[in-house]
Amino acid sequence: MTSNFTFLPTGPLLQGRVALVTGGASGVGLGMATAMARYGASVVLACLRTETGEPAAATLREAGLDVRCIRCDVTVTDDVFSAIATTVKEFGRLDCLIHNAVAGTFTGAGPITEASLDGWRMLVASSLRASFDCARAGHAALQKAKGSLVLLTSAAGMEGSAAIPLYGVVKAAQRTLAKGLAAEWGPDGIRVNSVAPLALTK
Amino acid sequence: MIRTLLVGAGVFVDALCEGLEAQGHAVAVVVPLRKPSAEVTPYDLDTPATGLNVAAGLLGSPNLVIHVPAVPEGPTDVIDQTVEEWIAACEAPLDEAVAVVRSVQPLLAGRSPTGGGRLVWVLPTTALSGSAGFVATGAACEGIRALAKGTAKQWGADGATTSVLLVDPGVFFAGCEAPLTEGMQDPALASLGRVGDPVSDLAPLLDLLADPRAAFTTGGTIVADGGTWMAL
Repeated sequence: MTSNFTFLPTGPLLQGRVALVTGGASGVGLGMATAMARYGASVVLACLRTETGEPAAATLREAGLDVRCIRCDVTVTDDVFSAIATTVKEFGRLDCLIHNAVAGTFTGAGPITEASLDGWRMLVASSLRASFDCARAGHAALQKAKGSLVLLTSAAGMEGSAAIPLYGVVKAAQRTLAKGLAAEWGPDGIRVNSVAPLALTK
Repeated sequence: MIRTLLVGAGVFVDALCEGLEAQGHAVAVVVPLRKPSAEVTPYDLDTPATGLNVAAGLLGSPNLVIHVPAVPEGPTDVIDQTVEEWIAACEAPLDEAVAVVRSVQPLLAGRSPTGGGRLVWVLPTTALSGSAGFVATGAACEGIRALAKGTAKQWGADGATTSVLLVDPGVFFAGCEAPLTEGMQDPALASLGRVGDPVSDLAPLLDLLADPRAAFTTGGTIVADGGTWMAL
């Protein structure tokens, strides 16, 4: 693979590994998926908007990477279970599950007293409930593969946010959710981490 | 006289009420409607406003609002957790905390910087880090810590402040019959040798937080557990 970052390792480090990225059709999710695919992983873009995800996956396949798209609304429990089950069925394993999708970030923005309740509900559903569902749905396969669960959080979850306080709430919650799961799943050989990029993407 | 609204229910809340009254506070306890099986929509975020406003009307405008969310006392592994249990342990406490912020903002904000109202959450120290068996609770508590910070930032111009007080699970869950969890610190081995008493150890600290002399601290977390957490 080629990279502008000479300090990055090269080679098929993830050959034979399977990853699923929620919100993988664009932005940070697509970036992570692309990077893993370039390292040799088979990657599933689990995304709400297949009209964006399918072309993204097709473009990466044309570049010789093993990427496909599965429709998944992370706020729907059955969708999460189905996307993970399909991945395991088609690829035979799941090594890395990345829950990156979130919705409601800006509809829940502004003064807490004026924040849209729909925005709050969407934040909770897409970040917290979806993390719970990803954990429940992915545990068996991740345990078998001695794999890794990654939750995408945010700097807003570290010290709270005045501009998007409710986003900060769910992202902080996800960070400690990851810590708790890491403690709970350590004996199962599953690592759980959160990553908090400073990124603003669509 | 400090007028305190105490939002919560149970043995621990009753003891805090007793302790605050012993500190000279006029206290009104607001018991939130907590649905035992919350299903999909746990709370109407604006439900507590009615009760809080009624209590504030009886009490007078409060200087201090304390929210003690309900979290489960016993451990449950995530993969064994039902959706209802997850909601009760994680989403419902967060919903309630957001609802409290929305409800009390008009009661606490808009005061002078030295006499601003204060909103305090009291949580178990499981909020400080994730613990096996307490994944949902830890997530909820950390979310509330971020809410305290975000609220502090938004209310700062009004002189209203927030704090989080973390206490030992042994005192937070006092009166619960379920055991905490195996491996939890033996209080006798902790720094001060006990988990603390709501009346004599915690109420004075809450009283201090409501005092204008504490008005310069906001958004922060105070651990008042006699050292049990750091001793783990």
